[in-house]
Amino acid sequence: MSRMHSRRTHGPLSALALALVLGAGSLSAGNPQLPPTQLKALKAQQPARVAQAQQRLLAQRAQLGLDDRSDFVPLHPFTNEQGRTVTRFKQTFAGQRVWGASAVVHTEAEGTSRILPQGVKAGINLEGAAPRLGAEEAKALALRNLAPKAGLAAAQVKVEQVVFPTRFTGGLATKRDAKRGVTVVDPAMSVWAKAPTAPYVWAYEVRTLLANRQDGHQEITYIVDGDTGAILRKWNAIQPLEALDDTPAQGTGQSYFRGTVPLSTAQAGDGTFSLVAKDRGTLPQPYFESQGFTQMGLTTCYGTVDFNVGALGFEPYIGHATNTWGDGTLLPLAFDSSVGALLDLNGDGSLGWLRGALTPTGETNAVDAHYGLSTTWDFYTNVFGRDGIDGQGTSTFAIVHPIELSWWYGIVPMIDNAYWAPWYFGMVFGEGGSPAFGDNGVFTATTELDITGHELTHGVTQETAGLIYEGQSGGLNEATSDILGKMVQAYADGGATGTAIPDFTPGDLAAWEVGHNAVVGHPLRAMYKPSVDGISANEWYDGIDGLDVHYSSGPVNRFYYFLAMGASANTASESHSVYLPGGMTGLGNEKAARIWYKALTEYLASDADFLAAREASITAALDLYTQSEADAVRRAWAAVNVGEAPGQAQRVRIRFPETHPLGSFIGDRAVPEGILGRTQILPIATTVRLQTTVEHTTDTGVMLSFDDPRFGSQAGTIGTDGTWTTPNFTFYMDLLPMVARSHADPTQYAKANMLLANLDGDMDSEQDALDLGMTAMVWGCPNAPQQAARTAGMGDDWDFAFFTEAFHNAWLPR
Amino acid sequence: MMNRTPTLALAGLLLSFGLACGGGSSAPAPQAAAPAASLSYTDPAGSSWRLLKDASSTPTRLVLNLVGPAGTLTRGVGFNLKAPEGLKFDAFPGGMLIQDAGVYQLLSNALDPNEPVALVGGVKTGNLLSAGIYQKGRDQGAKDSGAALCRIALALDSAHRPLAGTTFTLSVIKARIIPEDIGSPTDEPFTLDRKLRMTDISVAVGTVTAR
Repeated sequence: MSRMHSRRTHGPLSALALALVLGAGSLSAGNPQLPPTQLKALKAQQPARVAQAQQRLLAQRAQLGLDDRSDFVPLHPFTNEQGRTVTRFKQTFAGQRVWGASAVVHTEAEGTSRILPQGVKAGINLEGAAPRLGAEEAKALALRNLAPKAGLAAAQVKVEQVVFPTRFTGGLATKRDAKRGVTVVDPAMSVWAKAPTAPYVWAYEVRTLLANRQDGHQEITYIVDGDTGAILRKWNAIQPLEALDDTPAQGTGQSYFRGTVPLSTAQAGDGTFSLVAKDRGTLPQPYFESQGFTQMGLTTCYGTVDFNVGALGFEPYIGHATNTWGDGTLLPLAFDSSVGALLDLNGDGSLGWLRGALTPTGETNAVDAHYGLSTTWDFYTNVFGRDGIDGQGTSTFAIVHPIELSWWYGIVPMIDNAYWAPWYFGMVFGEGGSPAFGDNGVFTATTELDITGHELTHGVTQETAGLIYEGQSGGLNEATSDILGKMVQAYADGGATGTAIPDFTPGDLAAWEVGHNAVVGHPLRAMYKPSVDGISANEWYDGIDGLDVHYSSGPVNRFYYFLAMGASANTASESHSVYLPGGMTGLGNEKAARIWYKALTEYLASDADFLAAREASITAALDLYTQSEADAVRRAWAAVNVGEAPGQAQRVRIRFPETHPLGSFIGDRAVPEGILGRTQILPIATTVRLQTTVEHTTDTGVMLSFDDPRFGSQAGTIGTDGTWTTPNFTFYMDLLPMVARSHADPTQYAKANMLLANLDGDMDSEQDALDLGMTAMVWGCPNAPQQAARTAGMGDDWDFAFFTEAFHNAWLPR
Repeated sequence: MMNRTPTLALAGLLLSFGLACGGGSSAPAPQAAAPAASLSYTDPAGSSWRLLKDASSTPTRLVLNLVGPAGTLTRGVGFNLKAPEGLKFDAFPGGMLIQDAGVYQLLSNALDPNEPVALVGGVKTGNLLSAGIYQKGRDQGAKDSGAALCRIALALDSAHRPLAGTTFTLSVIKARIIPEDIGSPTDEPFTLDRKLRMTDISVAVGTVTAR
């Protein structure tokens, strides 16, 4: 289909395989836990050990491809139970952060150190110490793009000068149209940006926060080119599924998901109680602090709307006469289609919240959320010795019954979503959906324990590996939340209070379904076989980067299930894998979780792919246990088509041409969802010949088909030689998925997306270069009625990009 | 890699019969001739839209300038040019089949270093070059068309090399310009719709001779 050839020659590249190992760090198996006294002494020496690690890292700058303007700043070091001090360093250049760059140094108990440089960005050679544009100019450019409905003053903004690796330049964004079940182009989050030719540029990271009636809650972050002002990247920092002086107290709650649960609360001087776990968290909650008051502990709040200033907000559950909360039933959705959200108001009518949020029924969600906060916090503390989400004891909070804005209804309850909100360093739990809201009712409620654990784990990932939320690293990010969220549930289900994580009952597949009790009809995700949701992948394939991160997490989730519970040799079993037909024995939750946590916190770089995660988890297994456990890790990855198990032959690999590599205008790093490296833009009503590459076999034949039968009947047929006449109409902004399967090994396949464009801007029934003239005329003229000339439907440079790519794909030469 | 659809191929063929006066090679020379090794071109007469030989042409590569009538202001031009068997359209450095002659302002005032330009060219089935060069939007004023606006190139097709003495008639199947007046974003939609139209033109083409 394209004359462009991929620069990749095989599956996921291994960043770790390129690791530069410096020093004499131990890779030997089974590092034992140190005696408490020795461990205490090492922890006391941690600052000196971190400083030593920093010096060793700086001494290796030349070998790492860095000059003396590069520096490393330690972030959140910790000393693990084996006495290893793990320090993750932020890489800087001329004093400014290098975006997405880091290094990890392991300092072993005996003092040897090992540098893990896979996150280091080498070869930075920028002139001067500052870009041409100032921070205020970058802020203005970002705000112009943000265009808050409530006005520029409504946006809170943080600006940081950074060095930006241009290969991360974003481009066309996609989103999931859940109602139609298809992936579509998302013009709102698309950024017209072709990577600058230089590998690095001075730039500004501009973080914005909107939380008001007109805009709802958004945390859009921009990368603005410091010299040209071009927006190079844009993403929503929200990762979806967002002054009290009291004493600790113990209450109880009637939860929706877990019956009667204990609650850590606080008692005020007036004798009333609040949903604040004062016994967890030693640093103040940063968002509360930014608002001018200090809040320690885990706080559960409810959503509000302030009618005086027209802002959405939240208030903590305080002033409760008793320390018994909730009634175990859910609040009916406080919504009426004729008026929008049903609200209760305070005495002067200046503040509103969802009707019933402060009643016992309304408290039920708060009970689940508050229990989830504390249980997740305890899980990390007890099992991994981690002090909270960031490892520093920073307090966090949750919001239940949140309110958002709808253009149609006005003020509405937020439904069917839960997310970790980095700006707030807190979580948001929406209501369950309802047909009354025009919704199918995906969730009954979003506060089930594994979901709570999932969202808080996003915070842990943010503070450790910092996995970039897209592509394979995004799939790893999501899977990590599923995995450790599920382990939080296992910990609570098993009644654990110590360091060990109990197993789920063998054969209990429901235990491995994310949100099993929270979702109506089907699980949110099934870790044992992710494809049961009809979207998620069970295994790695070339092109998986194009899948939303909530679905590309599938192979990693299944890997983890296999690692913990084993894989079946029975082909009829849900836990059977054709990639490991003989099955395997699992290691149990305890070992599997420790391996994954160590890989996350000590090895993974922010742009890790599945193969890098495989290498990291093998290394972590060797750190903690023996070759036997490491081989189990290899088998579990092999069972999801990532690498081979011991003794397995090299696998056939098949791929489509890479049409939009990193940094191209469509971009291999488009955000927030989907990577479009394999997407091809083609004109309608044109005959093309699809091409694939097959490696590691002499039989290079492939079978091509449409991956979604809903498109197949309309999209025509593909000949045995790959010839396809595109239909005489577009699918608007829908991506048309296609799959190529190897003749030699039908278990190996690749996927790509096609995007059809109607080039006939002048509507003379011919697609030719004259049509581009119409596109040129309507550029920058939003009221021009010539819709046909807007090839991409956007009225800007995307139209030219779509036109020229489709044209050149159809008519030679490029 | 790509072919036109039967639908488009048929449409092109009908247009060829309906609008073009040629497109095929003329009768061969009366004497047996050797395969051609070079090309010559005779410019067409007149001062309207025409394809004129560019000084950068070589014996084996004919470069033609698209020139418009002096004093006519335009914002871009596109055309479909059919060449008979024996000739092939040749690319310029960078791989494009059309070269900007520098008259039209191809970048807007957007200061976007990645801004795409409206310049495109490709060969469709039937040896039909479809090419266009345009100014985007209305940031820039219209340009006097009485100069070389863009270039295309022709060479002998080694796969179908003609005999020396063969003459060829090129035919412009369709050509349109963006006129000076393309309205204003503040115009009424009806007015704007009427003004946002390309205008048909005729392009005179000279004679190519293989030697």
